[in-house]
Amino acid sequence: MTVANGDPRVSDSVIRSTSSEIERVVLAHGGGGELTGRLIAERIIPSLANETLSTLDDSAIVAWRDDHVVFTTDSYVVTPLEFPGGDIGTLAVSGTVNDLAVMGAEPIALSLGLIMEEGLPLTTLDRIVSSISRMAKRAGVHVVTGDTKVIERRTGEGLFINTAGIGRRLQGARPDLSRVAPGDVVLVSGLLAEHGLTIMSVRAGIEFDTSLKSDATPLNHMIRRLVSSGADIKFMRDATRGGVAGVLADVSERCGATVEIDEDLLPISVGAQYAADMLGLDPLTIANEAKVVCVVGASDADKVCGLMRECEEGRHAAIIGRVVDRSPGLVELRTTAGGVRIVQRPYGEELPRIC
Amino acid sequence: MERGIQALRVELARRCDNVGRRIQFMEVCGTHTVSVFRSGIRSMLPSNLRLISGPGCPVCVTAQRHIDAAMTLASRPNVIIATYGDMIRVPGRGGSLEQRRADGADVRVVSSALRSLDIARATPGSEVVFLGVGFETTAPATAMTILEAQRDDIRNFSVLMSHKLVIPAMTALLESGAAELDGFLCPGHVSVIIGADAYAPIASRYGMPCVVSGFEPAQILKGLVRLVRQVEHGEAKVENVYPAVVKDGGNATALEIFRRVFVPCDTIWRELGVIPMSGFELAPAFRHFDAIQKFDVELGEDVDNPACRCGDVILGRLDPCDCALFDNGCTPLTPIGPCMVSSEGTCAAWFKYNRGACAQGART
Amino acid sequence: MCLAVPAKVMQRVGADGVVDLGGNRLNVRMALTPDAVPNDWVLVHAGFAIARIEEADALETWAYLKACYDGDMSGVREDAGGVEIDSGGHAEGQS
Repeated sequence: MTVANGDPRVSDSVIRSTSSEIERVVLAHGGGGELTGRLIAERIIPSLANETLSTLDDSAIVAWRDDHVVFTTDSYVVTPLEFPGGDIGTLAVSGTVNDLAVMGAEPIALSLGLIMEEGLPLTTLDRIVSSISRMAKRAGVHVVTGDTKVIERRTGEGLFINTAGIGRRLQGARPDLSRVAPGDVVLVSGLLAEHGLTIMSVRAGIEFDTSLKSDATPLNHMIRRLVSSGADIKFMRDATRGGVAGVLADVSERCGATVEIDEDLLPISVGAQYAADMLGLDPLTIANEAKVVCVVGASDADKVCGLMRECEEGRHAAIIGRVVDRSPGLVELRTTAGGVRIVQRPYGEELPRIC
Repeated sequence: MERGIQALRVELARRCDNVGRRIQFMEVCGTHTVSVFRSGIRSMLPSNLRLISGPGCPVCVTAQRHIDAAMTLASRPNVIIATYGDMIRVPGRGGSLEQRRADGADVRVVSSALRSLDIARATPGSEVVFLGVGFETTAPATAMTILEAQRDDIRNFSVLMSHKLVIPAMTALLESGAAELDGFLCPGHVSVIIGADAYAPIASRYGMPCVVSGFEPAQILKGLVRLVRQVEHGEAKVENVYPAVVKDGGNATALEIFRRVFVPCDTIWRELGVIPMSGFELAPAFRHFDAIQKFDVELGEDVDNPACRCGDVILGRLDPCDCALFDNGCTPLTPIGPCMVSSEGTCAAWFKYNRGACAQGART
Repeated sequence: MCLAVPAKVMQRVGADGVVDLGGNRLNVRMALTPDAVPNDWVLVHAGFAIARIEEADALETWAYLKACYDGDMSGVREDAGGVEIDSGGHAEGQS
């Protein structure tokens, strides 16, 4: 995939007479003056419109009535910016919403920090803001405050996003890794590795046409249903970087107990299995965007699985294993062939193998 | 569990029991090492059957001087290094290509040698150097790429030749008397290219059972069963349990392309020294594509960490657990020797799949 | 260095071809398997088809292929909520 030869650099001292003639982000958009104001007013506020945001105060004031704030932040630097199933904006909202949701919190408000590279096409920005808006509506959360900056051109296609989110704990939600104990059951909310493999499929050097799509989407509605059912949800974590293997490693290390999972029970699409095989990667170590690993009390396992499956985003949910009283705490996979092997968190970026 | 696999397990156990004594087979190919672990077969082997991982990880055995040469080239302006994934983490004397990339060098992972040619076409102002690593399975792709570069007269492309050949390696291993072996589990996909018949001299000259097998669990078990059966009957012949893709004569087109583009040559294998006729260099008509020659790179000496036991591990003389550096300074994140760098390296495979057993003192 | 996967040839385009791996499409060079035609199975490595495979052998050697290609359309690991496969070998719900 070749880098597009960019248009001649727009001098940062040139401001066109009307904003509609400017096709790319220029440094002046980050200057805090007229152009910044127009960018925000014309290209960002309309999609995200809500009362709090529209005041454009230095800070948002959010009504609160709880003892604790559940608070998270994440930054998004994915390339390419757009890929099958979503874009950086999709991730920026759903990732942060899900970080709140897996703590048993309802997302209340998000902040949005945009760092744009000079040269970024404004139509790209528009699409990404539109994704942010769509995901926020889907999650039922508002972006109440934000910031925009522009940095000097490097590739002309760069955009980085930071979102922070605050949430309010749901009644009855007490997910806590220290509560996990032998006998508990492990579930995953859907098909493995879709996001990571999708990204790999569009990255230069590893291209293949795939039917796979990023799975990014907010999970707070599904999780709210699980919590409000009264099921004893001991622990939840979204299996992003490091994949399911990373989460299970966290569980086994913290508990000092072994997590046993069954290869036959792992939900994975044929396309993903194939793509992983082609790249020589283990699906358990590949990033997901909207998959939750849940550890629940054994008596609630079937109920929780059933509830997840009733939701679109959890329709392929499955029980995949259990926590057993065996030390040292390892993650053991019972393979399809009937053997056993250890699963470990991947060491950094998993490289596709040919060889 | 498939009934087929269960039946094979039972048969393997029965035959190993019949033999009674310790049996040692070598998996020549790193992909077999990984498959044996990943499928869980390692955990179900009868107690008297031991699998040794041999020198079948081309990344592992790439000589340090070649990595250093790649690093040197990477540092030059307007040079783009194109390589398969695993190579970028292999440490040379001055770090790895991954680290060099972080310093600003243009190093790109490609999924096919042909992609490196695409890069050359797209960036006429740059010199693209492709790292030609791999066994006979992968060498045809390099050869085809060179033929295409020749056909299209692409001047800004070259290959750092480091391909290795499996049969000379197996021969050298047997000549060294390094490990007590009862047979070889032969690499299925290398055999697609070279053919099952290629192992006949190994079987006849050294009395070594050779069974060609694929990488699915049923394939591997079938291969092991056939090997043990040969041991039981005192036979030493070549068998092929992967006839779906491996023919006796291999892939004639690929072998013909080898003859056109490559010439076998003596090659240095990391930690193993020079093995005669175990690598490929470019035939005279294509020598202008050789990166070392084109850029006049001076090849240095290999400087190995004295505490690194990769050589012994590759030859099956040592288990990873028995190396003092294993998980003690040498980890996949901080690899010292190549056995740990490549995910097919013996030590990396053990670290990933077997470390718990190592810690407990139980070896599989 | 032996990672190769079975794939079904969808199209021949001169010396090249398009193969399908469970919905993933790949352009591969067919110079090493010049006789392969659409609906044949081939083994793919590093951008090349390196061998032809009979369909029956492919299904027997790679157990996971059975689930999508042998007429049983219930999908892989159905009890775990595997994806439904339509008769074209493509997962439903994925474009």
